[in-house]
Amino acid sequence: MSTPILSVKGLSKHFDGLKAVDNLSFDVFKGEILGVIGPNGSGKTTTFNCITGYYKSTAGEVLFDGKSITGRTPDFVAQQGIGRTFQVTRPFGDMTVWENVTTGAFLRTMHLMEAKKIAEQEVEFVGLADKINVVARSLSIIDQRRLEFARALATKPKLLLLDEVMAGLNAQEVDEALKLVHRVSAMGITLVVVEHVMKVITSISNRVLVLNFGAKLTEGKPADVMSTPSVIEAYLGKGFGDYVANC
Amino acid sequence: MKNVKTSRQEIKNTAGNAMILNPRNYLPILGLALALLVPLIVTNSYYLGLINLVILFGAAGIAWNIVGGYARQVSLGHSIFFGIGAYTTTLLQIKFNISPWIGMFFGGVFAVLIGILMGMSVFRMKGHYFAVFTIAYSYVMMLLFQKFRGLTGGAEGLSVPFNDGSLAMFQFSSKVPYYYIFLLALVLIILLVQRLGKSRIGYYWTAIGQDEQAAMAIGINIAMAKHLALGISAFLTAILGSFYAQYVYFIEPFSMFSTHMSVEIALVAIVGGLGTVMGPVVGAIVVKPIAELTNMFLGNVLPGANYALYGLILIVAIIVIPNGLIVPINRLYQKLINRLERSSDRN
Repeated sequence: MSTPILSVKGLSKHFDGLKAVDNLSFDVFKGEILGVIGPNGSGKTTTFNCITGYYKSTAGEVLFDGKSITGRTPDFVAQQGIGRTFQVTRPFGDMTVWENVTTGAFLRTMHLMEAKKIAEQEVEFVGLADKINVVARSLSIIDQRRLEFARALATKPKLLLLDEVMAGLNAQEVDEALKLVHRVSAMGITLVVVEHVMKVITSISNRVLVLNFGAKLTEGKPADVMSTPSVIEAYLGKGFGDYVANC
Repeated sequence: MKNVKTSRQEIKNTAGNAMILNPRNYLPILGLALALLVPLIVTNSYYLGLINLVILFGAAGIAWNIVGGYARQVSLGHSIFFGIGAYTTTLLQIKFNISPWIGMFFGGVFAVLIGILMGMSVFRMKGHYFAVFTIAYSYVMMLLFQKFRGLTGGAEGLSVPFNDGSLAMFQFSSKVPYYYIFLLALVLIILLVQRLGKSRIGYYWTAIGQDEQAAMAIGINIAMAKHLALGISAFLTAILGSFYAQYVYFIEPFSMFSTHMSVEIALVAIVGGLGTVMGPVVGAIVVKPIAELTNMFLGNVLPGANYALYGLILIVAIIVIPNGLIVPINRLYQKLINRLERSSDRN
């Protein structure tokens, strides 16, 4: 747990006057699951977009595996081994599940047969085997999330950034998704998980990073973070303090 | 579930049958054999001429489809490449007596260079802006070719030098040789695009056409893939442009670089089926004769009405079958294959 796989140093992203991310620094360690929480608009997704190259950061540095990926394009970042999913799912709608994931697998192989084989394994892994030839557009939300998961895994990432993969799922689906995340983690892939659902973050993360107004509020073990008064106030609101105490 | 089953069945069938007994293999060969007989059946020169244009525009539609259908960068400026191909071969013949068979490759390379220049500025544009810019480029081309008359012959156009018909100079008095040459080109382009579609770059193009943001997230270099699509498309379109010049013997900038020409190429693919291999062929078979027949029957009686009717038929076609005419045809083709496979299983 001592070597950081990802180091974010003094990252800032300003949209005109708005400081969406403001001088943010944190490390992600090899093999851990880091939960990122914060109220709406606290800069979670913006941070993801800066790390993965979708936004050009205003200032700061991002190191992956000791190499700077600051200001690089999303495809370069993905080639280095950072996978991601999107808050709003983005399947290749007209392609089948298999074709979607095969496209991802092509990052590590030139051969169609090999890519299809990798894809088949990943599709099975996320539990979509019975829908492998279904057109992605017609999948339910949970299945589209599974698909994005499989597509990202097919690129063989070392680090996977999950942007609210649990949003919109019911309790049973959340449990299934949690199991999936744990199995991915068991494969040795480092995970950064942005979530709104409290239960998810506390049960899943080794460490939690709390953002507020684009800056780091605190970080630490889930239980410690949850009992920090400033977190309860900023993230959960004052009345929520009692609820947390009862948990 | 149903889909999984059919795909397994497919695997079983391809493994179980001898290559030639599989309808998937012998049906295309049968189709090609029938196509080879066409000039023996259609002896009327006017109709064979129409069929030649169907083949040529079908092939051009496939070339357009690489960038417009697979990668969904809807170009309305493909007349640029078509025109460059036509002009390069014709000029090389006039000035240096170079055979079109050689000249067409210069035209292809020239078109790729123009395509790269276009791509560098145009690929920053999204959606409609991309289409508008390609139109603008074709106007620039048209004006340049009109202006530099010393080189291009200006607005009066150029005639392909007549030399009594010879294979070496790609010139024939009958329409039959053109038919076979165009057909060969069509088959080669079909095979090429089929192969590309099953390769990494083909998957990447389709992915880009569906969602660029998601494509980047799995490591696809968008700019590179788009340039490659436009480059290959431009090259093939230019080759077909030289064919066109050798077929009609006369070219002039206004029609060669017109948006009308670009739209005609794009339409063949859009009506037939975006991002499918055989869609443009089906599109050309439908679009070209309709244009020709409406012109023949209404062109003199009610000038202008022919275009209205042509447009109307296309509108109806696109509304009724938005994913292209290839979709119902594919379904029928699939049924035919299944039936043939079942009957061969029984034997």
